[in-house]
Amino acid sequence: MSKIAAWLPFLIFGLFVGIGAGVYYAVNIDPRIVTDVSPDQLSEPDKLNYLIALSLGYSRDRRIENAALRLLNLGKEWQDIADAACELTQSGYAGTNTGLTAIRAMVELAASQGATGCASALIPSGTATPRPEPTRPPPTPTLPPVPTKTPTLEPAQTEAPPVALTPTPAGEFAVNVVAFCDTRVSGVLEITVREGSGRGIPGVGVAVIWPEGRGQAFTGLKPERDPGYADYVMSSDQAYQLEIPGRSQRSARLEPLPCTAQGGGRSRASYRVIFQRVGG
Amino acid sequence: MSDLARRYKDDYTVLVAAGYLADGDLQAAIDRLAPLRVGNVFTYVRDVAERYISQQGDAQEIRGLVILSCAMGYCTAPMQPFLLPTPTPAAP
Repeated sequence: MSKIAAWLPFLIFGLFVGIGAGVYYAVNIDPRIVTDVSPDQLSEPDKLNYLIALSLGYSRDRRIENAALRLLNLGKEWQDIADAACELTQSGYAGTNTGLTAIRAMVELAASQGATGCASALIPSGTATPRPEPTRPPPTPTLPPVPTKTPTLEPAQTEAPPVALTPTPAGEFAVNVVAFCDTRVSGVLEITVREGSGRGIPGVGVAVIWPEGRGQAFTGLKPERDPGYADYVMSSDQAYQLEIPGRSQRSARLEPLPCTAQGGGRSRASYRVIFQRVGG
Repeated sequence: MSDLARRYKDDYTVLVAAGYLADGDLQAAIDRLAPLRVGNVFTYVRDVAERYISQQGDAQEIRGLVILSCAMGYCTAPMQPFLLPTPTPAAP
């Protein structure tokens, strides 16, 4: 009996050492790895990534049932999207076009289900291009056409010009984009190429670029509107950028998002894209 | 994110591809895929795209994956049918 009592402290000590070593091993050396988890088991930062992704997904496919299912899997609600958009807006996330696109997608998705937050006021859905533009060109070309040695269209001419005859303009062009919503014009890129003086330049090929391809719009085909005018109808599921190849920067990404016109009618966002010569 | 079940990883990748179509920011797409901790994000997207194609998944989702994969430099033969352009220019 006394022999057992003598060993008891050592046994208890050994037991605690064993338990401690086991816990340390399980926590620090070889922790249990949970695999095949569902989205609702993700960490909050990962859930935020998922929220952003599902909002962007909705902005492309417009399948609200898919977004709802993903949100359910994530263990979140519509208001959580609006709240997350609000937090992102107040962080540096909104400092890039990519961030703005994501926040706008979140605002739009949340708003479609009646959920709003602070981002809804700061970055309303459907405005399509919240990116501020530092400069604005004159609102309309005001100077009359000036005689020129180069073959250009007269404003009264109605036939389409032979584009190859018109020289490519020299010099650099600044690009300026203004979004608008009008029930009479749905998802149209209204392009104008101008001299620095404001005079329209016909026959300029403006590249229209979307993620998997590109097209071209030539100015001067609607001289009754403006010699430097061209337009392009956007596909509702695409985002576009415009440039005069080698002569201008690319515009911001332009997307025909649903919008509400001043009179209350629904339409898709259109854009006035103005290339104005700033040099050369 | 790396512990997600494969179906959710695939779904997340589809969403990231849709995000790329929305913002055109390839670096952002790569950054968004980084939490998945796949060995090579480029071949990973290619593999997901080809798997969706072979399993005849949703055409719109496949299209997004294909466009992202091609943007990452992996544009394989099975992807070609999903790269057809859709916009039409306005009538003069």
